[in-house]
Amino acid sequence: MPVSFVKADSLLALDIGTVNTRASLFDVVDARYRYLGSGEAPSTANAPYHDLSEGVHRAIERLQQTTGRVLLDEDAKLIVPARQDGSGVDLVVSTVSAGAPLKVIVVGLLTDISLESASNLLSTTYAHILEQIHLGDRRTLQDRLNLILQANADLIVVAGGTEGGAERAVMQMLEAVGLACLLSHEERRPYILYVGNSTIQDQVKNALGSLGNLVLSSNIRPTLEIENLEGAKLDLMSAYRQIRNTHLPGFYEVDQISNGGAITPAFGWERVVRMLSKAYDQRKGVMGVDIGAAATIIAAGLGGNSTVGVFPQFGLANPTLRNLEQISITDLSYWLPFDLSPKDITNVLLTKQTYPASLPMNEEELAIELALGRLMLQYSLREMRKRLKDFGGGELPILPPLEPIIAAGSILTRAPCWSQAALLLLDGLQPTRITTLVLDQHHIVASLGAAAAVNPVLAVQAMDFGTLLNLASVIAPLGQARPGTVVLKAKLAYEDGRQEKIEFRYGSLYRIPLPFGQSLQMHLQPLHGFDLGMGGGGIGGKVRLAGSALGVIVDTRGRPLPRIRDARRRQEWLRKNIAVLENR
Amino acid sequence: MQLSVTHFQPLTTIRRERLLPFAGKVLARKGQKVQATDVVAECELTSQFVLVEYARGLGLSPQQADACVQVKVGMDIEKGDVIAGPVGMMKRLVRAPYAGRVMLMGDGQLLLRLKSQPFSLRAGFEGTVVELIADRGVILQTVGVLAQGIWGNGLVANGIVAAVLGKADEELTENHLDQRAQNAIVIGSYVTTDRTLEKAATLQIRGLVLGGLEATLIPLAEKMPYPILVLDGFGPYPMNPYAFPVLVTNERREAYLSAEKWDALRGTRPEIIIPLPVEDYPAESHPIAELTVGVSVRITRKPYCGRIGKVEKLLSGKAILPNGLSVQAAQVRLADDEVVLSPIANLEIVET
Repeated sequence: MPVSFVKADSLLALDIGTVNTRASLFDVVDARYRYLGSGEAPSTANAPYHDLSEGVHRAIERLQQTTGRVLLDEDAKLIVPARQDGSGVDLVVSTVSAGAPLKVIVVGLLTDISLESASNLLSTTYAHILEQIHLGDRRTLQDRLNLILQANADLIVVAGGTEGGAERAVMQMLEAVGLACLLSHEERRPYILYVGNSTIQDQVKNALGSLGNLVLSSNIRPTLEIENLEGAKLDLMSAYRQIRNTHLPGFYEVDQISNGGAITPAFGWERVVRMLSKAYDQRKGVMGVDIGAAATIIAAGLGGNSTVGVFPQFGLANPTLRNLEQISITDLSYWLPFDLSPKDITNVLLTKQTYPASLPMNEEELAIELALGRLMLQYSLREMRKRLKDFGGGELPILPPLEPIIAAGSILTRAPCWSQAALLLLDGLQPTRITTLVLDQHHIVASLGAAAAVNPVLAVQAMDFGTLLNLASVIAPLGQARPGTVVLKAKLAYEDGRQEKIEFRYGSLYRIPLPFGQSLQMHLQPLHGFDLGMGGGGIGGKVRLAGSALGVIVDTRGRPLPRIRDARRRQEWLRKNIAVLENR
Repeated sequence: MQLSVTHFQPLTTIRRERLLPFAGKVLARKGQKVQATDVVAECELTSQFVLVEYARGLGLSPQQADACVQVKVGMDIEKGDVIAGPVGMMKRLVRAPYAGRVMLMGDGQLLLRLKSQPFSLRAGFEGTVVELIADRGVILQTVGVLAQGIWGNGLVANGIVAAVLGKADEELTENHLDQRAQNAIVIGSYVTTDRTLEKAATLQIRGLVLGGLEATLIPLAEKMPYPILVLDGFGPYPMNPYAFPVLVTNERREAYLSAEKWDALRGTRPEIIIPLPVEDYPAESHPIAELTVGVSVRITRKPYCGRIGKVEKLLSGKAILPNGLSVQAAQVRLADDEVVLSPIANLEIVET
């Protein structure tokens, strides 16, 4: 009799976003954990509700309708743990990104060292940096004090000093912070997260400890060369929760019913990619991207190490930050397969920013949103470039070798055809060598990250069992050649015995259909020193690829993608790309 | 399903919070009838602090200077008052650079909180104080016209309504802006050129209410010294057929134009309120309502952006849009009897 690692625990995952709240149910079916369904309702963090719980309650009601499982009792309370009659759930986990980004002031010594690391730390959560205060800013103590008091920040992050390094300078920078806290009304005092030289933590505690919410964490820049965000990330997550508990009605209740407490989706994404990077080919990284209305998230993992970036400024429509007003119309127009005036594009962007949940109703507006998705990925990747280099990437946009790339976001999952979603990812991320694009079609990856803390087996099994959509296998050899040059030869061997030989020319996009349930062995031979990640330039080998929504995409358009200045030629190129993937 | 409601109502009961930016003192009484310019609450705005280094001024060590201080923590001092000294043969003094309160002192330094101008919160519109919010403000109630917008440039003003256009679909140009617009809240249709906004500024209008505004003009609109309220959309959209007649027929009445940003979190929207002399209180306007067959809705995206109609059918299951998107949708009969399909995500309920 096989031994099962499965405890018979059912799990409810809540994902509370700016626009929607989702409730997803997981339970054991045939001795394995499976995703059973989701219920969705508009989020209620905003007026007139001002309470997350209302949206959560409605999402659970919809989940009851979808799955037929009773989850709420007669008093409309969630039944935890599950009862003998099968009603209720055993575990609850939650991810919350609703609410405005945290308003943060960063205090440090040097802009390119401690402040840079503090910014990297803050990019792991939903934060908006209002001001930076540092040794070289030429501000007086009085200026710094007034700046902090006027900013009305939720959080002050203080960095600076390597381990055993600068002490006096750090304490000097803390003077304005301490004074501002002392002079602020107790209820309006910001949280302070100290992530500087840990040898002076006692002094910091003496100076600030009595003034409110001080969290002492590990030094994020222990040496000039090393950045270590791991310990501080956990403390930042804890500060995030405490701030949300104070300012976001309903968060406390969600946090209380959640096993392991409520976390951010970014935290969940990072946990998932870290977990997968241990399980998969350790020579390759794992990437997760989530293109949301409020923020774009990019998480990467390699051999158990991980990094994550949250970019509210690159959300598809963040009214709080008014981010679409700052979009470069020239950059966006680049990805449109037709002419549209800057005036018309700006009108569409402002409308989207005003109504973030609204949907494009015609081809033009859909194309604008798909172009926006590409831009947001590119902008976010640019912010991540230094961190991704640690995962084996080259100069961006050359991504490190990745397997797989998991992508989420309504712009992808709602796209009228899978080819549009795949092309958005190919153009936005420009993956290299051999990888697989996987779509989080039910928006559950972040929730599985939350679940992994309380039931890792569930997180792994629920991902395995058809919950994620295998979108396409991608072969994108790295190298440079003249357009039209054959850069890759392949021998294809299908399961039914068919064999085929194909040559791939530089500057094109190819699609080889391969339905679900089938597989294909490809013997690849790159030419002219092109690199497939099989041991170096010009080195080929065999690879077995599984069937997927689009099959195999061979992208020999080049990395980075060519910049086509002529609008007519570029639009023709864009139309051709989509036609190839749609097999038109 | 519940959706947010936009109001273009000729007569409704309007309740609005009028809140101080910081805790302060509420001056109005419950039940008090107030005019637009009456002050209902006041507070001090966030103060500036000044650090006075009196040790350096006296040329003494911090310890020596501390012995020469003439003021105490908590003391209010005026500009020019002696803080420390006199010392030495030259009788050196350190005087207060500004009026303020001594907050902290020691080690040869003193922190002074400057006196700030009190902030007076005015009622904004004629009405009755129906509730007091301790230390923060009041809830004011009135009866009248309410027209809500999608965008405002952040400013607020009162003024007399002036209609300078005969039709809701005629572009407002600088040629329409004459003496009637001066010192008035101008009801326009849509604006596509910067010249119109600039001419309005030279005429010192009190405010501008539009159906549509080209989004490329937003940066300029935010620099204008008068409030601008956009009711219907970004682009050359005429003012909707409910708001235009209601606003135009109330020409010469006093209006309150709040063009503050639409903040979904706080529930504040840009809007124009025209109090009317009515004794009875009609039903109150609500911010959300249930989407059902028969309710009036406005479509928020092209090709029907800004158009208003009635829900004819809520489709079960998903519908496919012309661009291929699969969405939860409703059939909407527009004012010209055209029946169109719209995603529910693109609908907002309209009360007229």
